[in-house]
Amino acid sequence: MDYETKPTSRDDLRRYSVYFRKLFDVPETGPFPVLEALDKVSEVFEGSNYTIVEDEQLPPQTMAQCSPNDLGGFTIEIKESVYKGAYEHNVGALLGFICHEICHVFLFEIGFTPIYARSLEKGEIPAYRSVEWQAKALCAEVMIPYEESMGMKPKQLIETYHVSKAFAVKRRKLDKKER
Amino acid sequence: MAYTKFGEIVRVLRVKHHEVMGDMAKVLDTSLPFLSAVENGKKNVPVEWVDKLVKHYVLSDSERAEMEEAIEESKVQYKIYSKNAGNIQRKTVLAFARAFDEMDDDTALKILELLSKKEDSSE
Repeated sequence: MDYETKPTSRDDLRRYSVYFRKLFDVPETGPFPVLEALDKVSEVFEGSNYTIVEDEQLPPQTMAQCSPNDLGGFTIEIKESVYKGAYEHNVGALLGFICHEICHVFLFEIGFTPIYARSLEKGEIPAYRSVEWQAKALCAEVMIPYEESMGMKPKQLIETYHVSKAFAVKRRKLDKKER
Repeated sequence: MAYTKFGEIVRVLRVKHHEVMGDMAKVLDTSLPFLSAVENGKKNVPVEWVDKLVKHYVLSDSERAEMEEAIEESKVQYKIYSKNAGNIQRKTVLAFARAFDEMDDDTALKILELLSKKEDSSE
């Protein structure tokens, strides 16, 4: 499920990622402390917060989700197993799921809200107009600082920034493409 | 859904000490969903948590008092002992409790003011 929003580019999202880190008092380089940032969500985005729920409370395919709340902000719900994996084992993919939801809140707050109320199937919306693609791309830019990571191999990216293999491989591809 | 006063205090403690919810769940020997539900006002704060938090974060007496006050304000369930009450009294208590649940903050404050005036005048 996806929603259409106003367009943006990877270059813009890369620029936003610097401000995103600033909002959470995180330096422009080094790994992004996802779980520490999670605890600052309510400070950075008024009315927003997060909650850890029993796995059964969210659909099987959903790792975490972000939805509007009655305080005018957003509530991020995270499955217990997802948080545990991120906390106890620093699993890149799980840290990525959580960071992705924080990125949704940031993008909604800066005006990248759904244009139509109706949701669409994955692939129906061009990437640069897709709420899901924008959050995913911003998440990758936040977790892997662009300048610092230039030229790093996937293994090095995974070890340095605690990201998933998929994020690392994509970063490497972008590196080659943009060179 | 918002953090309770207690939830806000513990969140700030975590940020200040560079800890995350997983660390606090370990300190309190509890599950993440339970701790999260307490912070969001869905469950009451277990009494034994105060000592554990005071010890872990080396809180002063005034910080402890602030936390205890926050716990009182964050309560979502109250026990009413009605052992000596008759059926009518019990029904009255339950009716008041239900009405309180649906009351907005302004109305609740006005009723509290009236009750406190009544108490003052009867003293």
